[in-house]
Amino acid sequence: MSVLVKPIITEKLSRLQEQADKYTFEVKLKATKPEIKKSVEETYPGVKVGKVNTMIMPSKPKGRYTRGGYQGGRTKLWKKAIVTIKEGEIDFFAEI
Amino acid sequence: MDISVEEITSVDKEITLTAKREELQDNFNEAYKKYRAQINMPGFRPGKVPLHIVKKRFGKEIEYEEINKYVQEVFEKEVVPEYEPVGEPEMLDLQWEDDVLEVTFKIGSKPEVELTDLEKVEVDKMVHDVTDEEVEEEVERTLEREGNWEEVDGKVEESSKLVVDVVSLDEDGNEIEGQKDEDQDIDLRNDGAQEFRKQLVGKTTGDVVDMELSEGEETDRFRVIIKKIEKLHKAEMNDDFIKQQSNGEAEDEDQFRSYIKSRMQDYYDQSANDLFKNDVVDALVKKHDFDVPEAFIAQVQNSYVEQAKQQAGGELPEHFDEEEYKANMIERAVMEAKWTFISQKLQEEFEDIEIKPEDIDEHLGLQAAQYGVAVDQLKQHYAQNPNMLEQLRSSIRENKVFDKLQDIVKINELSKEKYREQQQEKANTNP
Repeated sequence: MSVLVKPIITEKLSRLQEQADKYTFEVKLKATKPEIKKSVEETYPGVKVGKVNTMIMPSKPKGRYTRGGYQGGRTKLWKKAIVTIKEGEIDFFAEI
Repeated sequence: MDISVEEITSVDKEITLTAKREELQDNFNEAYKKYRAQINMPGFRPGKVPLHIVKKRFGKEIEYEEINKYVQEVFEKEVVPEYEPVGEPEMLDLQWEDDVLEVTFKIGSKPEVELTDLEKVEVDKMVHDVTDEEVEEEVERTLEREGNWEEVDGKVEESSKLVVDVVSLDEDGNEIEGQKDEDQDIDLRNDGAQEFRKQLVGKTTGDVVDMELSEGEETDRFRVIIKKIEKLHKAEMNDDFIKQQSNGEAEDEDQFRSYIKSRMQDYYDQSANDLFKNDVVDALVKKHDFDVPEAFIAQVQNSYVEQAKQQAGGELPEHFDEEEYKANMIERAVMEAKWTFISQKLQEEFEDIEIKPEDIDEHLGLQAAQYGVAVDQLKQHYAQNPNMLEQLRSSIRENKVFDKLQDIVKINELSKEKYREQQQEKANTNP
């Protein structure tokens, strides 16, 4: 089963894509770098992955004020993987 | 961009428009830029989404929208001036494949109408002078209409009005429970009350009559209980009555009679005119044979459906079969379409029909009187709606055409009775 959760597209990351061929995904928290590499190569045929950098994004407190008072909580902990591509190209919009 | 034309009939054309991506690219780029500024995508500041992402994400939608715009523009700028389509153009096909755009339209073009010799066209016209007897009848009717009913003791007469209870009976003549209609009005003067007249005349209040009415194979049995007998008292011909009925225009009986006479004459003249118009249209359409573009007929049919919609209160009835309705109306639609073109041709032919300001004023004055609004208000209304003004103009122009035609075509003057006979005959020969 693929460890990739979803691609992440933002202004900053799309600049990174164009300039350095680095593509970013949200991945499962327990995924390892070799697993991520394999998953990407399987999901996007013709793509060779060079390097994978991962980071666990910290959970942050998050809350809102409701009629019943302050409703507190935290965002989930998640892992971000920045994948550098050696060969090929990834099109996040191919399926749409 | 290429435009090719295929003639299906002399008035129906198929126009095919082809264009390549290169010709459309400029339009697309413009559109991308425009949409880029508007798109709000999570992860990007507004307007900062890279162009290639916009293209990938929304490219198809934007291109289709742009193509539609482009087609419309080309149609208006290139096709309309050259082929002058009439009616509603129909888009048969739109294809955007392999960077080639292909659009097919079906349009109708204005048919060539050659006018026949108008002097040889014969049209019947009803001419009727209101006679004194007719005036007398009308006065009598007015008196009856304005009269009032009064309860009387005594016997039922042929001109009475009754209030009765009606109970349904079974086959053995027993009352069926629960099937009782109380306080029903029966006006014995009505044509439909013939059977009641036969059985009830001579009875008095409180009488009970068992009746049978057979309609086809079914027989209705019921019991009628007379509760009230009313007799008509005609209104009295006095000054008040005359003033009220003539809106204050007549003061004595003679004046009242002539007032009624002139009103009736106006009515007959008006309807004779309307009938004449219809007959002229009929006659002219029959004399001219030419093809009418299908697109125009479709437009007329659609307008009928619209009318039906408005008559039904803005919404078509649930089981309304639009296609069937259109199919039923086709003959009328063809006729109206033909008349439209003939009328246009006539308007061109009669060069001296010109709309003068006083014509419009006159027309507006009539309308204002009809709807009970001020002329100025009406003028303002028209000034705000150029379409309505155009309609007004064309209806004035058409009236002028009719005036002209009245001088040119051969008119058979017929009396009222003769005219009716002829209409009847016509209706019988082609139902």
